[in-house]
Amino acid sequence: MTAIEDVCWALAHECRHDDVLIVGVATPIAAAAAFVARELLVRDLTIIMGGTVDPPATDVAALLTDPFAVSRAAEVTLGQGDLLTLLQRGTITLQFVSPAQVDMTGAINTSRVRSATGAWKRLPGCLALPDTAALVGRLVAYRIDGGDRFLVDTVDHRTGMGTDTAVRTRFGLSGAGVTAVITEHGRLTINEIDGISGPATPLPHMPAEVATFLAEVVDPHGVLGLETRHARAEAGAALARFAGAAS
Amino acid sequence: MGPEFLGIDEAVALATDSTTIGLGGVLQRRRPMDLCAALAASGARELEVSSFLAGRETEVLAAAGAISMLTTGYVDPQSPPTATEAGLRSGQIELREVSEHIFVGGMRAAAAGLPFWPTLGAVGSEIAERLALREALCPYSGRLVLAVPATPLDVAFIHAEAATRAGTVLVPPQREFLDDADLILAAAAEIVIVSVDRIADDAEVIGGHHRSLAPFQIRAIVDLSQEGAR
Repeated sequence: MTAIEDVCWALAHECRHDDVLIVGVATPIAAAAAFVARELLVRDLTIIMGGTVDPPATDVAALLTDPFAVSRAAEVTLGQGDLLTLLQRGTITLQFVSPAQVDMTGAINTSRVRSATGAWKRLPGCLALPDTAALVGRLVAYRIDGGDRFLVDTVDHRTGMGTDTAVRTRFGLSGAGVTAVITEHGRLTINEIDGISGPATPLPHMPAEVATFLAEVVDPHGVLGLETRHARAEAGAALARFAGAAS
Repeated sequence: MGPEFLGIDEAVALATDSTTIGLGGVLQRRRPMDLCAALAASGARELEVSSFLAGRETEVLAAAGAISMLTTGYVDPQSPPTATEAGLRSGQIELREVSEHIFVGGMRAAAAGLPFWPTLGAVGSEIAERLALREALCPYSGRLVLAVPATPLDVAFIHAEAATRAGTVLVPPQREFLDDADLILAAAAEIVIVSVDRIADDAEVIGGHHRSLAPFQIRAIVDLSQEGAR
């Protein structure tokens, strides 16, 4: 069993009956977990991936090389305006996010981090994370190989708000923010992050039949390693081979 | 009132006095590369560029030193660093980082002629704080919201596959990731300039249920299939 499989399986277990799960186009582990959850755990899970509603289980290498492919394989794709309206209304109930940092209040950072010298290093940017941190029912933050740079006391930059119940109550927000953090070391609830309740809960291992589905249908080219430090180079080479063969 | 069909330099000349410019497209799709290249070649400077996901269209202008401010929610930090990245690092380009709700809310307010757009997106974030977004109370319910100020654009550059002779611009016939982003951008702009790959027959469009930009929304169209347009 690999850390990728275990984290993917743990994320899939976060899905509940009737959840509406939104998945971005550049987080293959989140996409894989969504497909695994719907196929094997929560049949009525609604997945919105790159605006497309309920895409079929798809090779994540194809999603990465052609984010528009899911639209061609599904019946409904929502526009950006539609999606933001659904988000504002609180219709989206779950999102898996992979920020550079998450802190003890559940605040997340995808904007910039301080280096060891104190200089700022720019990250790709916030996309919709400031919005989803406020409005999505539950966020589950995940990372593999993040080390002590991922789970920190206080984020260097608050791209998305934390639990902050006072602000959430004042604005009547629909979202709870980050409710759990999953790494290869286990699962932490937001209360466990700040040391209230104890150590991380070990992740369940992915059963062999689920690993087979993952390997044969969702990740036949082995690109999920892009979201890890130890396997990024190998996964990048695999994705390049796939892209070359597809073009 | 419909658009003029112009050569690319004539069309871009309409934008040379502009300060705020919106660039359409997303990822590798529908990027107005030829319009941006022509604007860069025109010697434009001090542009305040808005791009939903900044990419190679922004890079063309950054490489020419034409951008002073970039409003976006994403800039791909590529290696080796691009001119966009170099500009951001040196401070020549100021980054105005916005969330999707803030980006689109500002455009929607501008499109509707409203001073602001109410949102609950980005509440509690440093993104909202750095932009100094203000809180507002609904006068009816007393509910608290963030007020995103309107972000009108002087000009929007859009690229589409085709337009009719009458000036109807066709946007992707099949819904796809962020396919309506260009329509939102265009609606917020004073001047909309569109480049197209070809001219479509009216028969292709009438009754075809294409989503589109209507002729009255567009100032100029550049037909890139014409010799000398590029």
